[in-house]
Amino acid sequence: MATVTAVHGGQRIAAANDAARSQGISPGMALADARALYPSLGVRQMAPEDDLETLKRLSRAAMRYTPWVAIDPLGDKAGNGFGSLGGDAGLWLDVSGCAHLFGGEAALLADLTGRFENHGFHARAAMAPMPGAAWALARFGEIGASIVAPGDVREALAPLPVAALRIAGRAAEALQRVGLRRIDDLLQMPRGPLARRFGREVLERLDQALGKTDEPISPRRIIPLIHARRVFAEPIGRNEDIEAATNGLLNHIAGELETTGQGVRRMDLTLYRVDNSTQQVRIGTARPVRDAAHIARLFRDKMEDFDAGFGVEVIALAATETASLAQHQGEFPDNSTSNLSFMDAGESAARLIDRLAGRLGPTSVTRLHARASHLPERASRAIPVFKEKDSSTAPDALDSPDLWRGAPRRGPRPIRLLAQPTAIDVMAPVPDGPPVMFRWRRRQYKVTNADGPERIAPEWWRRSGRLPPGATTLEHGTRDYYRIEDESGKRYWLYREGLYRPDRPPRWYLHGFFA
Amino acid sequence: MSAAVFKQPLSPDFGAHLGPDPGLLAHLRARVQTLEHPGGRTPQAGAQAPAAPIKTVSVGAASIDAALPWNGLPAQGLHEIFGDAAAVGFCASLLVRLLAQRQAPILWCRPARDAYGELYGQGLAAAGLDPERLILVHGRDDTEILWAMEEGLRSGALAAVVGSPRKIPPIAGRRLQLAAEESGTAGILLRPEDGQPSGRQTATGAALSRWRVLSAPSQPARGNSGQIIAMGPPQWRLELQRCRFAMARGQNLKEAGKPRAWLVEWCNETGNFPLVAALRDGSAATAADADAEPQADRGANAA
Repeated sequence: MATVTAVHGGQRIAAANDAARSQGISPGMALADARALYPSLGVRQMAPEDDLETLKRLSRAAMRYTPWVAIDPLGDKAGNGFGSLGGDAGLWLDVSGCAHLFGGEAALLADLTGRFENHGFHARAAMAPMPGAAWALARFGEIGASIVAPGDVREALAPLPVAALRIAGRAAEALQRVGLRRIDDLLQMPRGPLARRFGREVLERLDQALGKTDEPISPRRIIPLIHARRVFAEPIGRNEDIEAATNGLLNHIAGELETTGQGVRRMDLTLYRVDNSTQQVRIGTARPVRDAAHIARLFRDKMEDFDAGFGVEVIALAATETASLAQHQGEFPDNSTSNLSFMDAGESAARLIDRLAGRLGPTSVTRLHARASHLPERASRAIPVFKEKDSSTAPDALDSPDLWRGAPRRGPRPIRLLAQPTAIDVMAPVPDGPPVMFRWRRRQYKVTNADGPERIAPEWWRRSGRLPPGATTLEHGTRDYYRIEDESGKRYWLYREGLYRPDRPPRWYLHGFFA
Repeated sequence: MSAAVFKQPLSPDFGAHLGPDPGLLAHLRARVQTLEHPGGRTPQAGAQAPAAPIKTVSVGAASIDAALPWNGLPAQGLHEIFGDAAAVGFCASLLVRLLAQRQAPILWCRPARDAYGELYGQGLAAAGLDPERLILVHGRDDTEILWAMEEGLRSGALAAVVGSPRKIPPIAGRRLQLAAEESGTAGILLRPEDGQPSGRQTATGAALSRWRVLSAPSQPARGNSGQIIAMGPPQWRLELQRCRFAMARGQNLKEAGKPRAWLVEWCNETGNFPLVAALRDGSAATAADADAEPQADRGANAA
């Protein structure tokens, strides 16, 4: 069984399982050659996205051992240059200081490989003082002798092939050609000529493997400053138990936040189920919060339909985004003379927003934001409450009352506005005058009263993008707005697009409704 | 044969149970009241009503306020407004006055999709309503809108809560009213009728007042020689359809609260109605012939 991918105009083996390898099939081989070796070879197309997805899932599962988990960025790139993640892909786990929680290093490794094997993955693991050495041993070392103490790295690596150093491409070929096959051979060589002949990469990898230079691993998830986790002796399944455990962790975190003077803006609750699947619940708050009861309520809203599956083994709670918060959290006085907008309208309003956003989704709770724009549909915009006013709109924020009110000579504005103006049929006796009748939604409206026009010119400094070729913005984007009243007294905001031209009938749009 | 069994009384005092037992009734009433008002703020019936004044908000004209049992609308209760685009304007004008009483945010719960567009900040600002004070919530369905409304009313942190659910189950309406009453927050059910050819939506009986606001043809502004120079201010036909007398401690309980209708002119700047014309009493039923010449009593109110 092997997966293939198209490289250099031919189908090549990307990864092969053990049975295929035992027949002499190896990654990088042409599919035709592989078929010649073993005609009934099962072949699938490589699916790198799926591989990556699986790897991500495994990396999440591996976070039960340490929060510091990274996907091996190299995959088996070193092997054959495909850059695929299949087959020989790997995970890094930095278990410094974690092993004792699982009964020692050997027990941790056994637990890790056993867990992966239970789920049908053939996994090899090695533990070494540096990532490079661990990588080499996991792939090329003997199975079983996989834990290396700091003093033994050199001996452990010496018998391994050069490929174990993650050296790829031409350098690897060149080393092969001159007969440097094992790491031991490299260690005997003087460093200067080695670097000159084979490039700096060889030395760099060697130093990384031996721990002479540091090799940082970037974890998949930035480790939050404040986090807490709880491992259960027996998996728990009842939502009440999960809630109780979460509250316990929350109290712990709240205490930590109090001492550091921080409040939570975003928080992730990760539940590790027995079947190695994880579930993440995220809550956000409108402003920093430290009140454990409030956060617990937000989580409870989200967890209503949580399915524990076969049970939850580990609960981890992390404050992924924090902001400084004064030590004492008190209620704002209900000062009826102050002129505060709701973002500073007091604790209980902020809590209400948190709850609404928690249940309805953060994008469902919005506020209106004024922008300096002539275009009516751009001037007011609903943005999520959580979104801070960013720096680009800071000038708007300063004089937003003026932006809402507009220039004194500006015409009337409707109370409701269609996001997308809808085209309507009108009857206008004078081509550049107001209509006397218009049709919208299969109904006719007779115009009894009209006000206007108010000409709104397009913002030529902004690329509109929808302009047909050859048209200038002036004749295309200019709008003449009219306020129209129909027989029943309802008022509408219509506009005629473009400047009047005798050879083209004017286009009319309905844009808003007055009260 | 079985009928014969029922004809004769089962016991001598059987009839006593059928008659009203004053003690039992009083007990049950008290029990219902404690259930409805767990906070203990039980509205006492009759003469020994506590003198705690309720907060009211003006409708926009003194003559209309006087026609209500509370002399204005209670700011701690649920009100229902039907109508077309004018209902949105009427609601906005109420919100302006509610905001003047209490500097707090307003929660406005709307359906995720509205054929009549989104609230427009510049338009609201022109009506005197500060858009920065609005928290807009988009509910995917009525359940979410009603839930958000109730949460908002219960929080007590808001100046008002507006919501536009399509249908309101009776229990949900009652819950909203109780939440509004307990937290002292105004709740407004804004039920636009436009775009719904099937006519009136079902009203909830829990609201303290029910209004219907429709646009009416406006009077154009004329120049000295009578020529039309501009569009006049919008005119609305304001119908008071129903009033519950809960919390009413007014003096004019006999006259107030009857279904009435007015023709008002909305002043954008103040949000008040400088011009009010009373239509005939009970004209909710005779809405069709509303174009009878209304009598403007400009001097009647100094708002």
